[in-house]
Amino acid sequence: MNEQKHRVVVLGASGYVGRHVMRALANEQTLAAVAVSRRADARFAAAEVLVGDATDVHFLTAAIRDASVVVNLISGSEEAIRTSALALYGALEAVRGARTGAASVSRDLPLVIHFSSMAVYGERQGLIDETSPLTDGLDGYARGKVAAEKILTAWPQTVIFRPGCIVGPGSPQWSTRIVALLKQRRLGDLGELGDGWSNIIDVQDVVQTLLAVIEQADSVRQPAVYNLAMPDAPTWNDYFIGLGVAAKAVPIRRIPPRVLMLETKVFSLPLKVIEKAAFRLNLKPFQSWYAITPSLLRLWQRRLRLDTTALDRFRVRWTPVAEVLRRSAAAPNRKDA
Amino acid sequence: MFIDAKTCSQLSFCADVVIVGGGAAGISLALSLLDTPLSVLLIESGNRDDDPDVQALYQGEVTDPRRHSPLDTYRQRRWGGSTTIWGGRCMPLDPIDFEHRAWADFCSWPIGHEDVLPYYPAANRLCEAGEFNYDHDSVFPALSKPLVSSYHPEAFTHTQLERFSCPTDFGKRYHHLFEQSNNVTVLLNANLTQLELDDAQQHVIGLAVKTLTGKTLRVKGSQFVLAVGGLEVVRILLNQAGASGQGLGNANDLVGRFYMCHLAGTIGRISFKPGVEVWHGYDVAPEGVYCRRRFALKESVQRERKVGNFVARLHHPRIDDPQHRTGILSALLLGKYFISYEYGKRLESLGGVKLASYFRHLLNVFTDMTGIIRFLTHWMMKRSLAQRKFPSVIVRSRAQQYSLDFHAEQLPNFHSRVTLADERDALGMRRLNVDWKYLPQDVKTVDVALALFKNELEQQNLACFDYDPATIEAEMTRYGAYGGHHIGTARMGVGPADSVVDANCRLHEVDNLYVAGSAVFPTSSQANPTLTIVALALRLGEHLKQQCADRVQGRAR
Repeated sequence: MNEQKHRVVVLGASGYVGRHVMRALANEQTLAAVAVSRRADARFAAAEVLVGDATDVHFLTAAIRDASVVVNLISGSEEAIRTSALALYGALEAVRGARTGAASVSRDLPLVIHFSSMAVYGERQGLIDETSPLTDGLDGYARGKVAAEKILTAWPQTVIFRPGCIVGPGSPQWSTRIVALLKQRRLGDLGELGDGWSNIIDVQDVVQTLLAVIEQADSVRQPAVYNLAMPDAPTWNDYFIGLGVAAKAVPIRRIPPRVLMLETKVFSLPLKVIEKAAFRLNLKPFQSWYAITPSLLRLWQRRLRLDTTALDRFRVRWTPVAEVLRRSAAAPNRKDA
Repeated sequence: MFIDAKTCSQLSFCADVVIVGGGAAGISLALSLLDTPLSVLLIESGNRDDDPDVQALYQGEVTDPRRHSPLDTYRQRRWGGSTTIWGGRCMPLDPIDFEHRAWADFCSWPIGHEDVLPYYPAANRLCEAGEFNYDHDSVFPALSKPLVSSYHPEAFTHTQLERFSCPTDFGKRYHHLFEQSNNVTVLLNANLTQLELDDAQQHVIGLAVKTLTGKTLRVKGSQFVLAVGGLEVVRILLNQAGASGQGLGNANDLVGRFYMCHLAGTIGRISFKPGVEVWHGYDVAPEGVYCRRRFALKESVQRERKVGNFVARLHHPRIDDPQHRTGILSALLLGKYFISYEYGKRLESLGGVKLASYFRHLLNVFTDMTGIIRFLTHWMMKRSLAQRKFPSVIVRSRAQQYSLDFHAEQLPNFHSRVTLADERDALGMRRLNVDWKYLPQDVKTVDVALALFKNELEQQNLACFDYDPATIEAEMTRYGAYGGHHIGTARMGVGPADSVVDANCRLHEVDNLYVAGSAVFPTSSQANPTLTIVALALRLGEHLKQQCADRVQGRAR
């Protein structure tokens, strides 16, 4: 272990964003990446791997003991998100106690970079900046994210990201799934049902922003929150059309509302069952038969636009939309998938 | 948010920007102001559905009914305006349309093509016409179907595309955005009857708005936009006295003058030689949008020959000539009385069917049943039931025979005019009189272009193009002024001596009153106007946002 390097501990390193973060950290000369994963077979180039449960305070305390930065990418159910945030906070307090009592009292406490979600804004519409109050009456996932934010903002050195939809090569939710639906001609130009703002952001821009925050870690003295989306993110319709053209799923089909109603009200449940079974049983031909759920359709109509002007301070060079579409449409390589 | 003026209890409204008219221009402008700090009130005379009493407010007089359709046709006074019935053809204006053309009077814009160009991509999106790319070869790099095989155009280009909207009914399509909006309010069933001006008649203070049930509402605002269509804007301006006493913005007697449509017609018989391949149908762009190529007269030729802009497409043979032996064409002719006025007018103008022809058309129908069934199946699947509709009747000619469908620019004519009639409508406003006129130069445009086209086809030994040059004027006016395109009546220019509005579409005479729509076009181009109407509305939206920001900054200082 190189003593000069700052340790960056990544919780949830096996996920889609986590893998990209780990790959980027491996290229940073001044940072030592540490992956925390539940998966015993998790391997990351040029990184230490700690296998364990991120809801276990003792395990986490040991994991972040020497950390300069902790990146929290834990997702899942409401309970998983909340309990992992509680465990992380407990571990941070334990580390604070240990460092206060030790000779290294002057060392900075770890910076926490927590990935929340735009889901915390609930059904709110319009241009939303980070000062917008979090809403009640959310679904389980969003409730978990709100709870985690509340827990972790008690830690002074915290940066919270509220990302929109993270796309990129192999992004399971917003690239692979959408391309499959476009190729099946079940998705396309949705007309008024696709007028919502996508708030997409390329995973490489997520990573660039994260690195910029780490670079400015010393300046974080109180919790800060940032919406995370590309500044000129298209509407869902424009994203679907552009992605379909880039993926050569053409000509793009105009999907009538009645067809979408059938998808969401009749086919969605059985397809969801097939989708889950196909992944569990590794039945590849059925894995791409994704369900279009009512909540997806609601999202595609939602006129919430993340105000990202606060990100200007990080001077990230955003990937142009055309490039984002090209990357998202590309078949993922093994590293991305 | 939508409010019905007939039933609401609120009698006065106030907004930063007040838009009158909920058609292509008004809705596009309001959309450009959505989610901004500005409060916007859009006033629409009609409701979401057609209402004969509201539509009757459009009635007026036509000096020569053979030359111009009745004023309550081709226009829709309802939410969505005439986009509720449009055909969806989209194409931008050409650079030459903005240029000063010395060979024709009054052909000059105070802005250039480059000033409108930045707004076309967004306009294309609003019209749902796909990417702003009108070049066939880059949209369809792998498509090998030639428009006419072995054709090497000299005077024409044949790689320009026209794109087709769904066609998008702006009212229906964008209704939900206004319903959810926090800053734009739409007031339905509200008719502007009076602009209230300051003592100097140079600043609009407010509007008087009436419902057909007799209720009056007041509207205050900072900026006002008339987005009511090329004819109605004349009615509103001339029904006001204005500073000159002869109509608002009309001190120099220019409001309602230079009224242009397009000159369109179908002419001749083009018989292609054996072996010449022809594709006159639609192609589908990657975004799923129907596109079609056409022959466009090159700008260099327009300059050299001193003629206006011109485009043409291959068309099915003359429908009233039963020799085409095509069942569906005969069926259309025999069933013309069942087709709506706007789309059946061309068939109407062919007159009655003679008895001998009638039987031959019937014979065509009975002997080409499979062709009719195939056509109707395609029509039902791709048009009636489709969200994105197949744009028009395309019939391939088994005999390789076509006619030529042309669409030509009408040059500005000082004497082509819209004025007030004496009769008044249900709200007490004087109705319109339209005296549409064209120039000999307009006939020359079509004459020259057809001769050049014939020359090219025949010199390259591709086809025989038979038409009688003596019939050109009759053919191009057979249907009268091309319906639905009402252009130039409040033209844009550098000063009040030559125009009604300035380069920002603001009345020269009034410092906070704007016009959105094709009324401001100083020239008509070959292009259907909707796409440019939308682009200019978006440009006006930018200007209004800037004006309001400047005012706020001014106050802060």
